[in-house]
Amino acid sequence: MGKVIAGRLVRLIATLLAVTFLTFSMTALLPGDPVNAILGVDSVRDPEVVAKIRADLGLDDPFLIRYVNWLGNTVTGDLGQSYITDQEVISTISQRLPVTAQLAFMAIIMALILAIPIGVLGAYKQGKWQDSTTSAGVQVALSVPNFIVGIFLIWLFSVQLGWLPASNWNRISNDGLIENLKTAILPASALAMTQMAIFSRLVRSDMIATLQENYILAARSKGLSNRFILLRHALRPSSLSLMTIIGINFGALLGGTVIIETLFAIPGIGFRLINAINQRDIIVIQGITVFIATAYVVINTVVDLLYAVIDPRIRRA
Amino acid sequence: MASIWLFLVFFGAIYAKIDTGLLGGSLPLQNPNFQTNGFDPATSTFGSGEPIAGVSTAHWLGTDAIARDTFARIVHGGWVSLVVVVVSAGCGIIIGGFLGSLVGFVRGRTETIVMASVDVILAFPALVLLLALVSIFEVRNLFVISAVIGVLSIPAYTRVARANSLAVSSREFVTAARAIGTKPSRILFREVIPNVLPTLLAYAMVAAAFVVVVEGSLSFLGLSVQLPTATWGNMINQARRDIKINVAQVIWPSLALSITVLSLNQVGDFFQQRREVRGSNL
Repeated sequence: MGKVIAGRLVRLIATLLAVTFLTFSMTALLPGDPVNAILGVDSVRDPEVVAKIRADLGLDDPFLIRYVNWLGNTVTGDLGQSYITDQEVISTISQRLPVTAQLAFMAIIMALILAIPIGVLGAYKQGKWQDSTTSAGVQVALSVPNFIVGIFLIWLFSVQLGWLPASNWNRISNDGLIENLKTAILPASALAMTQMAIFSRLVRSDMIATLQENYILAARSKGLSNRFILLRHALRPSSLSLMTIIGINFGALLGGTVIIETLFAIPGIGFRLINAINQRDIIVIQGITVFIATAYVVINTVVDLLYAVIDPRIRRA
Repeated sequence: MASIWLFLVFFGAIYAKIDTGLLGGSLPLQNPNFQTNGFDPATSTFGSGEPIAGVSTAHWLGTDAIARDTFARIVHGGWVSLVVVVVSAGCGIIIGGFLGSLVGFVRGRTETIVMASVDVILAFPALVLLLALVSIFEVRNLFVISAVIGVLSIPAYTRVARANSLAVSSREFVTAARAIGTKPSRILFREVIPNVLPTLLAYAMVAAAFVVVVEGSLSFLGLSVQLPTATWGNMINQARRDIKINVAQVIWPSLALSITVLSLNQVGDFFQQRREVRGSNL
């Protein structure tokens, strides 16, 4: 087990080095002087400001030295500071992270709550009408992009019924949980849709395979109820593959939060990224990209390790 | 069904593109960027078109917020999706397919280096990396967008190609070719790549669905091809502002986008299943 963890950690660090390097080199790809990109070409040049930016970013140093310096700062949590809003990137992220995390977490939970019964039903009634209708529904859910789902949720619940707000965000700390959920439920549902489709497909196909195993036959012959067999014996192996797919899909989910936060004007990390892109705020774009990529890589490593904890066969392999 | 829809959408987009350029408008399709209520300097009057109109014989799917014909914009909007899909599949199959087949065949250090770089790119959440790359470009035209999406498609194809190339390279006919002294480059091009290609084509269908969604998301965020070029994503984004007045203008492009993705998924599933069946018979 210790060996597995050590191996994964080495790979994690190597990947993180490469990911940060790639993100950093993107600023080097910028055509012309980075100061132009940061200040905007049309802005009035204050030589003092230009000199300060050059010194801050060490633009007169060679590329590799700049990378090492920047990496050092990043590791200690200093992602630089926006030259447009003057805010530290790291404080922007820490302010907004709870919002994005809550959305992603709610989306995964909602997706699982829906996906497991749908998948189990599809597998249990394989080939019957219950299976074909849910499968068709899942196909459609898989094909409708999340921003379209979001718009029609807004149309139905905000414009037509007027039950829920179409945008904005109430913080738990200011407005309490109920008000917070009112603003969170629509965007989380929009995010959950695709995830639900992916999860339920997986549960269905996994379960169809499991139901043919001998130990299910043994459980049947013992006279255990269908319900007990489905939930206790057949569902358990699927939890492993569910965990993996949640890890793999986390990247898509993070991408989804960018779009959905923009659609619902939610003050999360993704919305800030889009703002930064529109303002060409390079430092913020770079900081947020590094943060999201790092989070994604770390989460996948954790999932891999958990997998090894749960399933001893993987430890030996 | 699925393939008929795809044919209609993409053929329509190509035909509309050629039609406005070369044939001088033989179709009854209107100019997608013409504002039917706009000011005409020749007669110094305003056009008689109405913004956000409903379905009519003049405008089959109504008009948008500045009185442009929605049907024409949807047909033309397919063009951007088509170009992006073709470029990404092209880059993926040619560059990714070649790289993957090569490293799966020769193995060794080349394989380690190539796959390590592929893994790094795949370590990013796809849309976030795309956004970061797109933000570098000040001018975003169809060339830039499809090139960026194309380059980002390469790693996934490389992985698929390598996995298949590994399997093919250990088969008897490759060993036989080696035994009779065939040059490795000839084995690669005559034996390995032709056997990897069908799987890559099947994968391209599934990837196409993803690419259409990704381009749609970019357009929706206003970060794809610049206005007034019609894309389904930017039509949805513009129409959602008037959703309280008229939801139909959101529905049409949403349907076009969703049905296209659904069709691509269906066709992709079909091809992949066929590949699997054939694979298991070998």
